Amino acid sequence: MINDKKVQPLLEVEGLTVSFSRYDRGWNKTDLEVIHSLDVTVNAGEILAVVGSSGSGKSLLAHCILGILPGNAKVSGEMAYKGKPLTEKRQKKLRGHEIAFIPQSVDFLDPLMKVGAQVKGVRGTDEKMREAFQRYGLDEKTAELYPFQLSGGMARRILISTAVMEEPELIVADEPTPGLDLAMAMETLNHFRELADKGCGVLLITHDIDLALNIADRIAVFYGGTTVEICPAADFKAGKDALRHPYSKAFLDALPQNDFKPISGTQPYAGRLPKGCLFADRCPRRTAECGGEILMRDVRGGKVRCVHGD
Amino acid sequence: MGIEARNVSFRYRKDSPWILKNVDFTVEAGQRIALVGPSGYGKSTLAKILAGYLIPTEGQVLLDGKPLPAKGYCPVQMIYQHPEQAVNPRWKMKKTLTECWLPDPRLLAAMGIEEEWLKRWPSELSGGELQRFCIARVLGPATKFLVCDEITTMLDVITQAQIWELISQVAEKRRLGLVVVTHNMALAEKVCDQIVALPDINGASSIGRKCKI
Repeated sequence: MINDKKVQPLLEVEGLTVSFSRYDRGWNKTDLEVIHSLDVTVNAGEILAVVGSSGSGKSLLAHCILGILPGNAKVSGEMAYKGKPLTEKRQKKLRGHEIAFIPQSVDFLDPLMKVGAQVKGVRGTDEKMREAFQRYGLDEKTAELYPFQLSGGMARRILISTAVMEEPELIVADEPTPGLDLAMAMETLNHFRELADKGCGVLLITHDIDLALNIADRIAVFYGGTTVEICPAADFKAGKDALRHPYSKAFLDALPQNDFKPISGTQPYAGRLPKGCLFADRCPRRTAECGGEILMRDVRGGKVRCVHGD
Repeated sequence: MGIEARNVSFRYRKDSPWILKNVDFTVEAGQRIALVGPSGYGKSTLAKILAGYLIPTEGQVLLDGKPLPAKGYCPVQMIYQHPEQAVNPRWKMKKTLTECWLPDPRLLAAMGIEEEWLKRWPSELSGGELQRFCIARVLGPATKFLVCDEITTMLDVITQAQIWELISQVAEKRRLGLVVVTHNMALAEKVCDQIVALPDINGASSIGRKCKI
């Protein structure tokens, strides 16, 4: 269900760059650029699954959209929500309300507050909370517990419940499924699909690509702080020959249900990025051209940041 | 050589429901057992009991027929589901990494740990990056058993495959016993030689079923 290009995207991120200012030696400060020229769009009624390397900036993108990056972060580039620039003031107004966030870490729960009160928040009601608890198989008594009394999966379901208390138009879900068993993980994802079918946009950051494929419309693959491929979810289902970027192909090979065979090497460190293609040192198709500037290209109804991608 | 949980039951308070009831569970050196079951069935609780972090309400955990050592390095080491809660936020990563042994640079390179990360605070690393430290710090020579509680769910699939390849190599070479808690059946089948499902204790069966794969 990919919307027509003329339709205004719900969220547009263009040329996003995020860097952190850090102390180096003594009083010297250096900037560490962790996200570079990243483009992503989410349309209303669509689920965009973001997959990719750990530490490739997936969570930072989420925090950036919500405006909750730490004070030493510098952000440049364009972010627009419903066609208007997403400024700090607008972020404050929209988040927790029109833009819902499901954080990755269960650390985001307040340890000194009963989870029921946290789920309800300021604008939620008991009725809505009961509804969410029922959907996610949580006992009503759970509301009276503190976060330390919950299992990993229960805490995760609490975080999801907080996000669906109101009627968000954009959900940014940062790895909502780890710790959940298969049935519960699918229930969560199906709920996202339901919300998307009602017109909500969902940015779903996940490592459970096999599950996400069942409900996502498009997949964005991140590596080293930028997008290397954006494609319809069907291409991931079709297997590695339908994919464009060598990293995406390696990604599919490493799944436990496929070969479980990792490629060697690691993602380059943000402070020592190579010139040209970030994946070149691990790529089987590397040539001299890979050292130049690599731009996003349109290939077969998707986008790829690779000179060889076909 | 083995860990044995004998007739272990656990609940948090006298008036709270049982989380585990009469569970018998053994792991021998060199054995790799996956522990599966729906969320909230007590997989993590059993993992913590095996590693000595929780004292069972009833029953006991024996290492080679003796209780787990109360002092010194415990040969049963655990890797947690949430690495950000398993490291001291006021220690830089180098101190966390070298708390009980000095991992050699080759291992760090194989784990994909950058030297620059050693100078950082835990809050400056991603969940997947932190988890690599949590794994590297327990691979010391005194470790005989590893209890892995959903340790790679926060990692991308390539790093996940790399880390399991490495853990499997170390486990094979040193005949470590592995207990792997996971929701991913494909992973359980690839990594382990036996899969154990924890029962619903409110149901009929109260003893861990074992099934060979």
